[in-house]
Amino acid sequence: MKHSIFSALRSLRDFWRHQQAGSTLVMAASVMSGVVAVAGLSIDVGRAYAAKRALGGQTQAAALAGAYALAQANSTSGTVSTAVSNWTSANPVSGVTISGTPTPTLSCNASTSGLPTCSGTNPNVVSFTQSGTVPTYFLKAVGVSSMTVSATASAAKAGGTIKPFNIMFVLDATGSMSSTDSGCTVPGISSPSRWQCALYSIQSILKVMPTAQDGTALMIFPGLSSQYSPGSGCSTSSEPGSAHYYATTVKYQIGTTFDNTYNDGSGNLSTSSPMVRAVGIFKTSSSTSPCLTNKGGQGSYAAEVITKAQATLAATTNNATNVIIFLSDGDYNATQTNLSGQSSKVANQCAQAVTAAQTATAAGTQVFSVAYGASTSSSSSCGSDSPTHISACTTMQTIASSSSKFYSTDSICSSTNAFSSLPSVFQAISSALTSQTKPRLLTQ
Amino acid sequence: MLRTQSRSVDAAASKPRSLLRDMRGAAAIELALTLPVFLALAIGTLKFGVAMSQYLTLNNAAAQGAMAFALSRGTTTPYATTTTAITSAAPNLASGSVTKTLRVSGTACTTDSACQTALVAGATASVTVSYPCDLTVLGVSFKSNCTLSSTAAQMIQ
Repeated sequence: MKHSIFSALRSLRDFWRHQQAGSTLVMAASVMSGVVAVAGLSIDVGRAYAAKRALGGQTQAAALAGAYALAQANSTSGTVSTAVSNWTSANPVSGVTISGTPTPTLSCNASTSGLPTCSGTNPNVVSFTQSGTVPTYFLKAVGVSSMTVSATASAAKAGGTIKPFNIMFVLDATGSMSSTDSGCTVPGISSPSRWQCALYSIQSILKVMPTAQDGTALMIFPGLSSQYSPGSGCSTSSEPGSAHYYATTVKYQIGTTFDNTYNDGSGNLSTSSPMVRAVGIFKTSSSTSPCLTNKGGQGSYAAEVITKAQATLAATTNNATNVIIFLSDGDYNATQTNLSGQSSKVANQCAQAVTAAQTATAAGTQVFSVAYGASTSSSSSCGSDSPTHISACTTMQTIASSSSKFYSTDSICSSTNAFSSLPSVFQAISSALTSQTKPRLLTQ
Repeated sequence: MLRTQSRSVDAAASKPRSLLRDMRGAAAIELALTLPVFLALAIGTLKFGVAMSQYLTLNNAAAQGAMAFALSRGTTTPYATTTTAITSAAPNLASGSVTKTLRVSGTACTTDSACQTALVAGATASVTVSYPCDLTVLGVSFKSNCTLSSTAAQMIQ
């Protein structure tokens, strides 16, 4: 036996020693089959990796589509499942055969900060897992006809507040705000004035803003001759008179702080809040009268109040997103006397307001501009702007940080956010602020 | 010299069987035969590997682009945001050769303003990213006009 093995090895050795012709070809053929096998393996594995990435992307998209459905009113696990399966069937992953019928699961994630509040019956997270097979080309030769890939994604619905807001309302309190706004309905007041409608709009936004997150403050122009912080026993006579723009004593802000006590969390305004005292509570019965009036009497000039609003916001230290909601008719025409004799401020008052707002935007503040009865005629508004004539409407449009932050109440001064009444405008701004959070993917 | 050569040629001619048995240079001939095949395989593997790597990058860039596009509703620069996201997700590709097509519910938009108008919550934003590939091995093109392409979609939020 031993002998025969040795003799076989010897004859093999002799073969290699003497029969070298074609040995390279034999070796090449054997090596090549190995190389082809490795190349084939890498092709199949590479395809599987590509499919896994594509499946991962589609799974994330499906989870986000589910999160979108979850954020809709009256959403159920059924509506979310439908949204996810509609999405996956409309956007299949090419080359992957999905196994079974994957369905999303809903859960409540209270441990990640910034997500919407949740409970067992009110979930805030959609998780979705799917697996599928990718057919192989070369590995079939060794009996592997397909490879399995899987992907999981979780997405939280929108609505959580990632960053709080400091909101500065800047209201035009000039005499022109006394004119009646026939398009506005205010409970308890028949034919309300523009001023009353503006106050009511602020009340409605204060009702729904989360006090835990958002601080609010109010400035009016023209400013008042001394600091006004209305208390419970306010009367119109307790309100200081208006002061010249750029007067050393002028106070634009009502109160001195950002207020976060304006509602009780259930949609009711708190009468103890300084903000609520200033703007009042308009109801069909037992209204609380506002402490503020639109005194006017100083012409109209906005550049200084916008600059002061930005300075006040910039001085906050709570790392919140700064927002100015600026409501005006956009027509600025103060006299030199109104401007405390500052001759350099008399010309181009609309352009000055725009520059002040653009400075605020450049500093990171979101400036929302609400054109309230703004004229589109550059000859009958913004009379001090020369040689560049701009209209009040254009002024309001360019005061906004972007076109999406420009709102208007009439079709004359039109915007992409045109609403029939001022309260609707403020509701839209409120939802624009809260919808700045989007659904987000979570770690597994 | 000349005489020596002619004599060996004569000898070879007179003994054809000994020429067939002459093993000198056999390895060189075999190498010459196998080398192109090996080279083709090696270069082919390399080229295919590069293309596969680029395809994986494209897949990822399309997914990132779709995500950025779907989230940019309400902004003024959705097109620029998306194309920048794609470019930064594909740092190894020549950005000038990456073709980006943005679609909202199947309709392409090519400017910021057009995309801004088109983006509606709940609709489908899709991004297709294409890149030319080179599968030419030793002068033979295995796929002419080869283009890698990847599409990803997201629901507009």
